[in-house]
Amino acid sequence: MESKSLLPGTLDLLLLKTLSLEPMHGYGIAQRLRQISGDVFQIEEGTLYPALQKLLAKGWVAGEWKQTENNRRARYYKLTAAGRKQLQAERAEFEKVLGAIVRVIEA
Amino acid sequence: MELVHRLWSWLRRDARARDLQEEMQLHLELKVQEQIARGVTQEEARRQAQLDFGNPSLAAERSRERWGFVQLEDIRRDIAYGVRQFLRNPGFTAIVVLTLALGIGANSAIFSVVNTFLLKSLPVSHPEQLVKIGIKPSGEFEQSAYEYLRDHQNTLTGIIAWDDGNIAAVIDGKPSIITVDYLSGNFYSLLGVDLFAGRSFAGADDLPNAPAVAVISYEYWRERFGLDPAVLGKRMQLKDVTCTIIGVSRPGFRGLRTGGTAAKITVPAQWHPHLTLKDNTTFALFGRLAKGVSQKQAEANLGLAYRQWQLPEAKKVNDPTEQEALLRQTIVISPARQGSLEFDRRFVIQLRLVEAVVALVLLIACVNLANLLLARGTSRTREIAVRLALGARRGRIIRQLLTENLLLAIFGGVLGLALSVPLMRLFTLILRGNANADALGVRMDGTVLVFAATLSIGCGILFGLVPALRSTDSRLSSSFQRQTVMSGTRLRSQRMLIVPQVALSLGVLILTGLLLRSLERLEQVDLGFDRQHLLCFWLYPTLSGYEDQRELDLYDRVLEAVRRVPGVRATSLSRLTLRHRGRRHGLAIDGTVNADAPFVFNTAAPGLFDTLRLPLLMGRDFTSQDSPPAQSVAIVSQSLARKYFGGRNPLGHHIGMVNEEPGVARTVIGVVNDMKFSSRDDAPVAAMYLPYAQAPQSLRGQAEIKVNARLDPAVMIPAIRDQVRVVAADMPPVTIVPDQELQDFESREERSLARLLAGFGALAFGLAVLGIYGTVAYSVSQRMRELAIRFALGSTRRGVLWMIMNDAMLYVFLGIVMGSALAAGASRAVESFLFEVRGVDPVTCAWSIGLMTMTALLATYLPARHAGRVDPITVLRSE
Repeated sequence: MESKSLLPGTLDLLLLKTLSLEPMHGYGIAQRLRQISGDVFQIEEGTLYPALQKLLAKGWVAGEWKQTENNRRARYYKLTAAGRKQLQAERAEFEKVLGAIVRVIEA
Repeated sequence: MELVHRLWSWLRRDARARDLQEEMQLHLELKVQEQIARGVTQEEARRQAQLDFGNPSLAAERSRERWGFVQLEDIRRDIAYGVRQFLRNPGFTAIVVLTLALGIGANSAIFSVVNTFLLKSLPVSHPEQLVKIGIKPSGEFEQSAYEYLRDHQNTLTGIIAWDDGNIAAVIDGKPSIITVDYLSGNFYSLLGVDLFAGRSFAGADDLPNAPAVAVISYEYWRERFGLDPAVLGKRMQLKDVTCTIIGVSRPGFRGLRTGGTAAKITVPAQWHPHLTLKDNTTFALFGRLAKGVSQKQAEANLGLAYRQWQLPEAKKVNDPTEQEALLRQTIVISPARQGSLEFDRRFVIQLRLVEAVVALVLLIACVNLANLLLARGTSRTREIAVRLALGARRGRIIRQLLTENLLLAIFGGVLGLALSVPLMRLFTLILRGNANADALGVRMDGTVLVFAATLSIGCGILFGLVPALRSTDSRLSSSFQRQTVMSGTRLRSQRMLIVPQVALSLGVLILTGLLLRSLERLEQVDLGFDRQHLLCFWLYPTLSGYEDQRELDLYDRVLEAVRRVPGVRATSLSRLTLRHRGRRHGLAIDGTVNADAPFVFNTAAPGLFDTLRLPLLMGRDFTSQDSPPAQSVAIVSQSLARKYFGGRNPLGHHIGMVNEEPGVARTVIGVVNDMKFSSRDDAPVAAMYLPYAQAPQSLRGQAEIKVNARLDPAVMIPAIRDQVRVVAADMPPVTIVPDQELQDFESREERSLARLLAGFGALAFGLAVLGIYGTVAYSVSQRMRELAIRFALGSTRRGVLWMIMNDAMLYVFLGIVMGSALAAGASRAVESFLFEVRGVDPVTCAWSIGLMTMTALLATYLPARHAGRVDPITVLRSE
């Protein structure tokens, strides 16, 4: 049940990368992903929250309840040191795979 | 890390759920605001946002999978949900649990009996190395053969000789008959058996001139000595031997048996010839294979040794047939992990049969429950459809339903285990005539628990899986608004379940019928003598040290004393019971040997025929004058006279038993009316009687006293017992029973089997009838609309009634055909229990099938009649 136009297996990478910019709440993450990708990645909430719970469970992100600009209580997700390491690892892996795919396609 | 997180999340799962809820709520609201900002109306924005968001419960559900132990958590929730369901339907729950409890309880109980007698290993060290040494085609080991084998083999680390019997033991001046095991001196050391107290006997105690010693069983220690530690060193008198108790075996130790009652004492085998009856000279042999020796090697090695013993031994035998029989014998070695399995073969058949029937009952119960759940599954269709619509995965719902069924099965199993304890007692009472299951070694243990647990879970899956799969079938849930017309295939599959139920219960019904019929015949048999007034008791003078003339004098004293009791019409004795099945062969008539001539013989004191009211047709009865110095005489039965003397008058002719008394010719002095020696005899057999005082040594030692009494047994029995005690004060008290009890004893196996089968047959039958009724009633309730339409279109009530019944009866008849075939196969197993009833007795079959058909008709008619009352207007309007 991954979102449309999302490469399978890349959701964790995208979430980690988004969070590496600054701590964000769930809605913010979805907005940011859509903006950066130029409306390509429209992540469904039904996918987002389970994925965030997984990152929390793995210890790659930490959650913290804070006030939003509009004075609402929201959980902000922040990348942890383990998360940073995981981001690098996933990124390296992704680039390797991507490079390979590109080579195959263009061969 | 992840584990800690999971544990933490799990502990705080409610707070977590609130957090997630809040988070997603915020998300939704922000989305709505975003849409409004774009200029959409509030209402449209909310709709759009919700549409975008998808299924919030599913998202929450899937997020939760990351916390804690979802699998465990789910199971916990499934169980809690299941329990709530059960509490909401207590009637349904009670029926399922009770049915299962009965089935599982009965199966566990019979399994514990089977386990004890047929599966368990002996509680000795390395039981897998034990072997039984046997003789093919038949025979037992003489003392000399045992000694020869013991000294001339090198493949076993030792040979154990064993024989069991009764003995009169005098302890503190009180005589009583107790059971005894005679065991070779190496028994305890070779098997590695520890005692509870004291020491076991060893090889040195089994040598000639060693003082007599005995080990007593724990149970005997408890009941006779009250667990008094001073029992060690105590003396008891066995015949003329003073024997010292040196040890007490462990509780529950039964020598070479895993089940049954333990012998009260064990003594070294060297005392066997002195303490047992003269005609008992043989042992059963066991051994332990030496390291690296195969069964085949041991068989060859012992076979060779036995051959060396056999050849010179055979030369000593005069009778050629007996000699040939001895030379035909060969050694056969078989594994004896379970010790002696020398039960009555019929006991094993009985056990297996009951096991099969009890398993059948459980199977029928499971089929029935599957049917019930199938029906219930449909009534829960809406609930399940709602859950599927809310995004539950199919596997998840199947798991939920399976959990519920397993839960039911486990409740049933637990209750079943509780029920199995009294059932165990019932089974041992019926099968072994002893309600004290524990004393026979039949008890709840780990193996039985594992069996019951496996059975419960197996049942849960068996009766739960099909309904669970069916009720989540997507084709069904799509029509979730309201099932209007049941699909035909669905009802058919449910009706199919009628077939095995009818087949299995009819099979049991026919078997029970066969047994009952055979029992009835057996009890009507006229044995040819006066049973009504007969009382019997046994005397074992040899066991108390009475031999030769002293034994004969004792009998005379006892008979004299009994005769004096008021109400006694006549009394006499014989060496063998009147119902012995011992067939002998080989008669010499006036010197002409007829080696194959079959006959039965017994010894008789004067007055036996008078006591039995068996008319003497010719000649005279025995008198006290017919003792050794006088000429050897015999009385023959009418059929013996007819068969072997042709038309001649047998009086004055000579007759001899070539095997029992080689070379002895007896003069026939009388011809007596025929009698049957067993109710199973087709016709009276040729019988020959010899006077007790002239019987060979091997036929001495014990006797059955018969009393023909004019008065009520309740009055006679104590009076006779008192008189016997006066003249035989040093003998154990005698047990006097009416002949009817001996007669009942002869058919006890048939009776107990018939009783058990009747009980379980009734259960199976009841379950099957309930199953039929339930299926038809259910299909009627599901087809209301269809029936209403039929009525509206002009169907008659009779037509509909006929249609409904026809649908079900078709499967009933299919079941009857299969059940009859099943019974035909199974009746072969009980053939040895049947008397004058052929394998498939047409009368019994007709009755059983008739009963099944009539009951099935009733079970379909009642619900079908309900269908006939359907009012089309009401039903169609309610839609």
